[in-house]
Amino acid sequence: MASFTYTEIVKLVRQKDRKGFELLYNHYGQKFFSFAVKRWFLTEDEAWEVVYQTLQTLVLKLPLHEFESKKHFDNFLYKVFINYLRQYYRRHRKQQAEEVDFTISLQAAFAADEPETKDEPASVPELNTLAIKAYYQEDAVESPNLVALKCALQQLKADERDILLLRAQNYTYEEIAKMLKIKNNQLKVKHHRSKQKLMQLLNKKNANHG
Amino acid sequence: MANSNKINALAEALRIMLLEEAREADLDLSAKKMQIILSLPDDALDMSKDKRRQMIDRLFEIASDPSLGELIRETMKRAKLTEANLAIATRIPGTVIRKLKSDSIVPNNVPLLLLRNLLNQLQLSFKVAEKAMLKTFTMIQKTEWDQLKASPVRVWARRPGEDKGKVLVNKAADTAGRELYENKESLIKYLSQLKELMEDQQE
Repeated sequence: MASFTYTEIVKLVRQKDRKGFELLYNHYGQKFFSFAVKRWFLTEDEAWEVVYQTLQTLVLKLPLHEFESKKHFDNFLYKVFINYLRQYYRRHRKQQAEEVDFTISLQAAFAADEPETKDEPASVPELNTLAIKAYYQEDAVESPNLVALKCALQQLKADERDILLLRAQNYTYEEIAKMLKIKNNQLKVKHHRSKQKLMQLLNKKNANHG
Repeated sequence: MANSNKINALAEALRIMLLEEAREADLDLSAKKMQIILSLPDDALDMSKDKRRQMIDRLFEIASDPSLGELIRETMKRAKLTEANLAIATRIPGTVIRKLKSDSIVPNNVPLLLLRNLLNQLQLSFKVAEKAMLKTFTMIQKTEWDQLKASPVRVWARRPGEDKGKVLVNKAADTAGRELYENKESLIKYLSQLKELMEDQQE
């Protein structure tokens, strides 16, 4: 497939050339679709809606707006996409919470994916699962627990943070190694240690506030 | 969505972080995140050919239908009308005409009689104008509304009656930044009245 720049795609869409819409889908829509299904567990129908709403917003925006650079274009598209992803993700987590036995277990979360290391296991702090459930119910609910998690994440090294966030999106260790351009063989241990470190930071915060 | 009766709490909290940090993402962070999405592995999923064609068709259709602003601009150009002439003929202030031309105002901000004057002056039928006005409404709703929802400017307040320090809720109303009548229901009502007005004048 020939490569097109974002300005070429935008120009074709503005000219109402059908090729522009096909390119828009090929370059962005398909990737968004795959991301929504594989990383965020949306059904294909839900992912279709997320992608459609995102590209529709862009198409409607184009006649009124000039993007200064590719970074501005990407920034707009990324925010719109995540905004719709957030809406659909929350809506369906909420449905899921009503339909199935919705158990959030931090102990289980920590025990899963445990590599063999000689590290002492970190004690697991109480993460307020109500805050997570509340997030599905209300727009932009933020709890002190989630704020503490955000602060703790910010104290990690960039690669530790990246590993944790990428694993949370179901990327495999092999994919993460490629993305971060690091060796795969120690990634599982590194992931585990990053979790330990995060938990210790959270425990420290809880102790300070307790 | 895959059914699971156990959700990894830490992973879920991290996912929430990811969704929320996008609101405040600067140009560099967005570029980094987009790079991750766009550099998906080769086994990336795709939708069925039918679904894909349906999406491209719908996007193409949306872009092809003219908005009210486009209709006004094209007709003014064709009829060699100036904003000043149009303002005098329709009694719509020049500033409002400029906003209508740039699709930056919801059409039902304009009093019905004045909008009827505008359509008459531009010789636009109700049917054509109705479709265009609905598109303008969607354009404004999509572009401004989505930005508002994705905006890092958020108002936080404690929810009354909530346990101390448990949950903070965004108190910004869904209608924040909008006039009460700038919603689809009001626009439909406005269009219905406009239709009657234009039919009355033909009788």
